[in-house]
Amino acid sequence: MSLAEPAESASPNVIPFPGPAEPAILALTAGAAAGDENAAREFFEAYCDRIFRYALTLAWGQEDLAREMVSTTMIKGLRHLKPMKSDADVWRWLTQIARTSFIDYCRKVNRQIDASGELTEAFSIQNADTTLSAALNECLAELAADEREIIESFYFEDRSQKVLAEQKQITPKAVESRLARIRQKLRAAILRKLA
Amino acid sequence: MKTTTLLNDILAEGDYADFREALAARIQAEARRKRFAHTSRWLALAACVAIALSLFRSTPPKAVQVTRVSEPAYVLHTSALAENQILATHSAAVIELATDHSQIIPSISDSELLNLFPNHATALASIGHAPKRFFFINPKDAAAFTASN
Repeated sequence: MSLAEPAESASPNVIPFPGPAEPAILALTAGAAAGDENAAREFFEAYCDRIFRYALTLAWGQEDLAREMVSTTMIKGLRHLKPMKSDADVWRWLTQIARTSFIDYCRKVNRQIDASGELTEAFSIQNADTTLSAALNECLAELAADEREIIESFYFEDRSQKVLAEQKQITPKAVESRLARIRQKLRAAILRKLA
Repeated sequence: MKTTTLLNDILAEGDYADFREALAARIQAEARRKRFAHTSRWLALAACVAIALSLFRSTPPKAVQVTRVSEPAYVLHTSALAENQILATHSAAVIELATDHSQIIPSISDSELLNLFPNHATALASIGHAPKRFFFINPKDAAAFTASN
């Protein structure tokens, strides 16, 4: 199924974002909690981008705020980390810190938020990924046909830049530049949708 | 998974990679700080245990015999007092007066006594077996000498 196509299922945009394998979680969190630098780096690699996506959704697409939330969450998360048995436990723990960080921010800037509606919806862990995926789908659908084609060919049909270059009769470097431009366009469009 | 890759690539556009790398460095620094704190705690605990053990296992102090050097003795010499040097007292209900006969009191004769007052009429007389008494014949003289005393 192409992401650009409208979904037909009841939960069309729920795309799993898998974390590390469950048996490794205990060793990973135990190592990071004990101050093992390699484990800490692995912990960071496993959760940083996920938390960023979550924070971006929560922060209405404000990238600076999302980055601040990610920094706070990852540092506090590591500082107070205890060995945990599952990815779900770690994710729940990290998103809790991110939410607290976000609420602190709202208090600081006196931003009025509807705790019963707006935030409850946004705080839903699965909803964060769903929101982002939905925004991506919409933005992909809004792309020009040739732009959408090159993105789908590269990301969903696993065609290499070299193959795409031969098809389009351009250089691989030109394909790379074009992909980068389309990604930037998508990025700006997604952040606008989250706002 | 492909969507995740695309999303990550999209969100990594711009300076996200620099931010991510800087944050990774901070995470590793935090891990080092944690390890140091962890190690320090264990070292402190080990040091406390070692000190406690050393205090517990240290041998008790040996008994020391203390010899006290005697100071030079002071010798007191006493001597018994003579009988007449001892003043003894005793309680009595009435006042007793004792005459000390050991002292020689100078005395004068009757004529010498009378010659002490040549210009006054004086006399020595006794009544019965009573001792002799000296008196002035003129009561004015008696009053004058008595008042002068």
